[in-house]
Amino acid sequence: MQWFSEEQVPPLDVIESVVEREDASYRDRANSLDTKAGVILSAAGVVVALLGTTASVAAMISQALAIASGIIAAWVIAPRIDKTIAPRDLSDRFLAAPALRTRLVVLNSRILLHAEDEARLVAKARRLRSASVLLLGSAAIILMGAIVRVAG
Amino acid sequence: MTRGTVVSTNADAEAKPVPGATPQLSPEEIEAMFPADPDIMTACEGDFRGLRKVQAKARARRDELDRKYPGLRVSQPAADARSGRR
Repeated sequence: MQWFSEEQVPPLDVIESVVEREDASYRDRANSLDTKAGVILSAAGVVVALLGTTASVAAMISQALAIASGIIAAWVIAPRIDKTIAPRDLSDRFLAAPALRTRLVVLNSRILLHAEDEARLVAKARRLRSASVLLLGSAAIILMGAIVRVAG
Repeated sequence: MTRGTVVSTNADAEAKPVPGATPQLSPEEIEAMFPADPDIMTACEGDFRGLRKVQAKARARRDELDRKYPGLRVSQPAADARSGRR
C-alpha cells in the first residue's frame, strides 16, 4: 500500500464527482417515476369507481384494464429502490484505514450500487409504460362504448 | 492557432516508462486492490432482497478479481476480524 499513491489515480476526484451527480440524477428520475405511477394509480381508481355500477361489456373491460393498470402502477412504486453506503458500517470498517483506500473502496462500491439501481430503474420505467398503455386502453374502451351507445 | 495546425504533444514521452517511477496499474488491477465492499452497503427503504442481490454480486466480483490477480487485494485484517467478515 505504501507504493500506491493518489498520483496513480489522477482522475479520482473527477470520477467521484460524476458518480455524485449521477446519484442525484438517479434520485430525481426515481422520484419522477414514483410520482407518475402514483398519478396512474389514482386515475385507475377513479375509472374503477366511476364505472363500478355501469352494467355494460365496455365498462367491465375498461374496469379490468384499469385494475391491471393500477396493480402495475403499485408494483412500480413498491419497493422504492435506493441502495447506498451505510455510514455506521463504513465507519466501523474504515475509520482507521488510509484515506485513499477508503475512497477507492467507497467509489467501487457506489459504482456497483449505481449500476444495480439503474438496472432496476429501467425495469420500473418499463412497468410504468405498461401501466400507462393499459390505462389508455381503458379510457379508449370507455370512449368506444359511449360512441356505440350514442350511435345505437 | 489556425485550422489545420499540427500541434505537438508529449504523448510519446508519456508512454515511455520512467525509471524509478511507481508502477502503473490498469483500472481492473486497481479495482482488484480495492474492490467494492458488500459489508458497507445498505438499503434505504427496505429493499433488502435487492440489497442481498447486489451484495452477492459484489462478493462474486471480488472473488473473481482475487482469482485473476491473487495477492493484489489490500486487506484490512483488523477491521475484518472485528466485524467477523472476510
